[in-house]
Amino acid sequence: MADTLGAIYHMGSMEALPEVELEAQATAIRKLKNEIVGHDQRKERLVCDGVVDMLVGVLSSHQRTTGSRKSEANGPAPATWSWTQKDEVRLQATFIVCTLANGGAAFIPPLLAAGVPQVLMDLLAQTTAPRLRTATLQALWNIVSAWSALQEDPGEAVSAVRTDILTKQGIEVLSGILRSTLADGAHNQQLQLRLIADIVSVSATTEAIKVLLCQSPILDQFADFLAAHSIASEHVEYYGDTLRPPLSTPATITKMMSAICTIISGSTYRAHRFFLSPTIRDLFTQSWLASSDQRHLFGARHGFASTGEPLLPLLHIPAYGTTTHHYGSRAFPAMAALQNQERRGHSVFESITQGGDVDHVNAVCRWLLLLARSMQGHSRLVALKLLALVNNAVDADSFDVGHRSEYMQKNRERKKQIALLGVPLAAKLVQVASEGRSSGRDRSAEHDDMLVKEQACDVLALLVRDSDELQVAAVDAGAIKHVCPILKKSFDPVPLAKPMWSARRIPGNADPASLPPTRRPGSQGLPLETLHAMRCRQGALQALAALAEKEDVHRKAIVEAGVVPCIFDSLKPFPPDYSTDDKRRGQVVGPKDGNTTAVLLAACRAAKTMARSVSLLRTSLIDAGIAKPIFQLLHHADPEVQLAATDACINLLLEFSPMREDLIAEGVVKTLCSQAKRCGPGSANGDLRLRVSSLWALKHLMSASPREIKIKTLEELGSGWLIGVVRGEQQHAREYVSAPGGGVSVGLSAPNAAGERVDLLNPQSSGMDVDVDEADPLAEDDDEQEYGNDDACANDEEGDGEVMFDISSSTHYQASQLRSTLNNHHHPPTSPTATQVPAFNSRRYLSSVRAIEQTPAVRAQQAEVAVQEQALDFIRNLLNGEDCASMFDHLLQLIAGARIFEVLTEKLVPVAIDPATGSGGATTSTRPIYGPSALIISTVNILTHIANALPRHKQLLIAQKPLLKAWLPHFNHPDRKVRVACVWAVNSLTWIDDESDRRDARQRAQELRACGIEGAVRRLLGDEDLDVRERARTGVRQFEQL
Amino acid sequence: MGLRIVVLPHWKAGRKRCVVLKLPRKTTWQNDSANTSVSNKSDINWVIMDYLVSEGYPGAAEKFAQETNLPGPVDNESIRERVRVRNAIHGGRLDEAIELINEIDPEILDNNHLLHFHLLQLQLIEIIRTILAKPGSNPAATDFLPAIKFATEQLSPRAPTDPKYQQALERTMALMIFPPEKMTPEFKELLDEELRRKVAVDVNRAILESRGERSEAKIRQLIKARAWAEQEAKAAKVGLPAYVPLGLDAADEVGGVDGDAMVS
Repeated sequence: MADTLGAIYHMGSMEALPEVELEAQATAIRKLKNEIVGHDQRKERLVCDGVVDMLVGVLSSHQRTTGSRKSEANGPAPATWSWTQKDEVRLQATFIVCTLANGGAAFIPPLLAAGVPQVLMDLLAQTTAPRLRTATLQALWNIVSAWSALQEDPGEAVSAVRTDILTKQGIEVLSGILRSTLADGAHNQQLQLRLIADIVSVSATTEAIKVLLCQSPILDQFADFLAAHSIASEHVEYYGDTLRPPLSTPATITKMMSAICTIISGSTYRAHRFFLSPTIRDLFTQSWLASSDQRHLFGARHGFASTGEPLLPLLHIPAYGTTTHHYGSRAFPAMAALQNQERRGHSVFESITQGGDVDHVNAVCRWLLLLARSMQGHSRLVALKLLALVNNAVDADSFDVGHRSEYMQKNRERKKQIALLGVPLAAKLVQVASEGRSSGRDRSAEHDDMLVKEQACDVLALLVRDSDELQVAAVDAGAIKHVCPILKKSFDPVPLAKPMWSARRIPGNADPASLPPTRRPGSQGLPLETLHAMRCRQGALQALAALAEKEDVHRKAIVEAGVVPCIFDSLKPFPPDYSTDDKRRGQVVGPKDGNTTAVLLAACRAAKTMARSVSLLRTSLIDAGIAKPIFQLLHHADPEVQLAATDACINLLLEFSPMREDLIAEGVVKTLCSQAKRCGPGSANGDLRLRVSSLWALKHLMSASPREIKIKTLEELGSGWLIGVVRGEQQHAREYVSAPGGGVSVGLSAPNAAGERVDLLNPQSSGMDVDVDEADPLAEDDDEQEYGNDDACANDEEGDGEVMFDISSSTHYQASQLRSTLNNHHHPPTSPTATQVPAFNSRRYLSSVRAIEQTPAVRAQQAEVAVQEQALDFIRNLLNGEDCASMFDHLLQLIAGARIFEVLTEKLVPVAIDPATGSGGATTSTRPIYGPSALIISTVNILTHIANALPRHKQLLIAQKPLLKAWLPHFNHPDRKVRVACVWAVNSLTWIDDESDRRDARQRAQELRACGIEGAVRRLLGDEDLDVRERARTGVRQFEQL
Repeated sequence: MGLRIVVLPHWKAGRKRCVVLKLPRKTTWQNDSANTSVSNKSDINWVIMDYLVSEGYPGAAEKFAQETNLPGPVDNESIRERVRVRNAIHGGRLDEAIELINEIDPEILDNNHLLHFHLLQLQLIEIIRTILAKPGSNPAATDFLPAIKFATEQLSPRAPTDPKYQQALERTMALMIFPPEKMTPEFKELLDEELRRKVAVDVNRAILESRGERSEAKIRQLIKARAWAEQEAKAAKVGLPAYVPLGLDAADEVGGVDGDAMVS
């Protein structure tokens, strides 16, 4: 072989070669190919001999000559192309790349070191010959798929390697090929489509690549294929004329769906981008001849009857009952009058949330259900995955719309349909995977079965996550019964394939490090059998984590299935040199050998949700000794694992957890404190997540623990640091708000305690639009414009900002004012009725979804608020309990009293003054924006605790005039939790400790009266919330007793 | 009982021969409504065309297309490729076959180790066959050297990875030990040319699969489905005649029955 190589080398550059020698070269390379196909050992030897460099030389040698054809490459392929010897040489060389990459993970490092993917991408951009194009795509796919197996390897050195296929140019090339295959559909092109979809779905692993893909036309193109498939299979009748369906085989459709799943996973915005893509919008708006909106025919009651007969089982879902209501029950009509005043908070959003087109979303979900039902095996699984992603994205985005019953009802219908028609399908697939039933005996069927085994549980988990209704549906369908055996089975010993035999001793290179990287094969990575077991295990753990999320009954059932020891075993990482240890080949992998990172993450999640049950915490989880491995994972090298382990720790550190002492003995305090402090300000979002979790865990540790622990923890964190965190980057926040032009008036973008995302409309005058469109590094507008199907505001950049959801989830009391602002802005004065829905504008809506998700300032702010909330709660728990007084004294010693109150005041005062200038000039006053209610609740609760300490502490508190002044507006907070907390604090303040305190107490009451707090409490006597009213009654009584 | 007769053209060595597929037209045990699925003439023709294309009869396919006004095979060249591979295997030229397959798509053999092994095994058998066939009564031990070399280089690396490889290799090597006349049937079948045909079918299927096409002619599936249905019906004790002729045997060929021959 070495001679052949030498000969090829000898021939030198292809440029200069006459046709005859090119032919000789082609023959030589072909011979080489025939030598190595199916012989992995020879491949390895060939790489050591330097074949990779030769291939790069051959493949890139005549790019210049064909460079001029580049422009054509994106267009339709020319009808005739002549097959030259150069093409032949390149084809054979590409085949060798294919074959090498098939050899497995070991060949990836040399191929990547030589930049083969890049060379292939260049080639792809230039070639139009279908055969060469297919081969090139195949080579790329082989490289990518081997590379992805390498990604799961526990060794660290290799995981840093990137393929660099999906760069901006690379994506353009792929999308160009997709476009040209849209034109004509020969079957060679089906293969190309499949390969492209495969490449995308496997190599789009990072957020950055997904963003790139989302910006490129590729996502829309995939969506087009999917829509066309539906039309071709007569799921939807289509009367529009923009969609010209290219034919594609079912296998291709599956791969495309899987590529879409990869692109949209991990982002609400991208998921919206998919289902609002023009063709998919068209699919459901052009499916009847009449001009009216007939989308109700897709509804549950009509069973997706676009083509005349129902394609889904008909479901009658009764109208949403009016029994549950955030603010008391409508079952008590007497309250109705009181509620009127409360609706103000919500009337504001109604028109905003028109943004989400619930009819379209429902139609898309039903369509995906239909696709899933019409498919089998792995295809069905992928369709369900897509459904899960879309459904989750819609949920994440459905703002609390007040209680517009129509909207609620439609959401409910969707949920119900998924629960009845989707979840059982997923559970059934899990059952198939668990029973190991095979769907056929040929190779593709076997492959299909394997994929189902690996992914079924994962998809089920994705589908039921965050929804108790769906979780119950899954368990009813037997999910726990079938998931648990899969988890157990993944611990069965796996016999590994024996190594190949060789007549010669493979010449061990004495010093492999001396070879250049292009000649040095890497490690083979984990054996495929082990990888398969790991993937099954990971999926099963994910499913358990999802099922145990909400219902205690499910957790009990999981424990009864006896899988807790499996969770314990899944928490153990591989020893660092596991995969490189070649001696293990041919042995049996024991169940306890270790786990890949993905499994560790899933196991931590499962442990976290299981630990939500108090009784399990005290029984099975302590028996399984789950605390120790989790504690060890806190020191894992991977930050994601650290984070997951910290999350799992949170519940283990609760007051009633028997594992608390063990963990403290292990030194958990020190670890958590150092984690919380590790990240400096301005660091990446991920680090802040770790800080939130660590503080959260410490917060739990503070409640009802002995004084020494509290003091030690406070010492470890440092009181100065703590105060700094509480104050946070509030300064920065102010800057955000006040900076002209760049101002995100979203100083305060966190969900409030009620889970509301949004309630404040950003006035037009703020610089929001600028912020979204220009300051956004992603700058997606070009392609948005290209693909946006809206007409109304395709031109205006301001259009996006106008409906920007602003998120200060808190108070602005001038309700009437706000509403007038709203009307002025958004409804033409002629049609201000709330029921009249403005035409849905998908582009505008999309950009608002994106702004919420991706504006860096908003995200930083959200993270910051979460940190502050935990820090405040930490202080609150610190002061809680028997030793409240002494702890507060301790705190006063560490931090000057004035400073503490200053910080607390800071949390209560408005973060910004928003110049709410109505366009009609009707309103000119300013509107203060307060911090998120979570922070306010925490702050007020601290006040309560201080007020509960000794009388002198009460006096100290009452002396803080600015604090009281800042506190006053919150008695009228729309969130009842804030109001309750406020009244509690007042009650504590007016409490008479003993006779000696009576005089002071009276004086305190006078102070409170003087600053208007007593009046505020009295007003709360008429509050709509029972709890608030009762507390207020106590408060008023206490005032009167003084 | 009436039978609809469908005559499948079967070209063999240029001479047209008819094979009749008899489909029960109206029977006592079922309504005819259930029987209409393949009744359309062009459907039948399509099934035949599919058979010709996937089994690799390019010439026949073309002629058939002309006669029936069906669109001809899309990719005639790909059929011819498969024919060349098949002919090479039938002719015992395994190295040529392997090279041809690698020319079509190197993925096929690179991923399907079993198929690759079978081809190499056949090649080893061919090498041994030539040695055995040499004039002279008993080949000397040294005559087998090329075979042993081939086995060492090509087949044995894969052998320890799975028992089935190992067993196949051991049996093949045993051909060198026993003189042909003393071989037991299990060794004899290795030298039988039927083995070539079997491997050729596997290869054809693998090539079709690699192109994302159905790996089997539709008609085979239909016949399998029919057999399965018959079996199920019998198991369910439906009143079925003891023997429902399939019509593929020469014995019950054209004639006698008053069928409406669709193609003749």
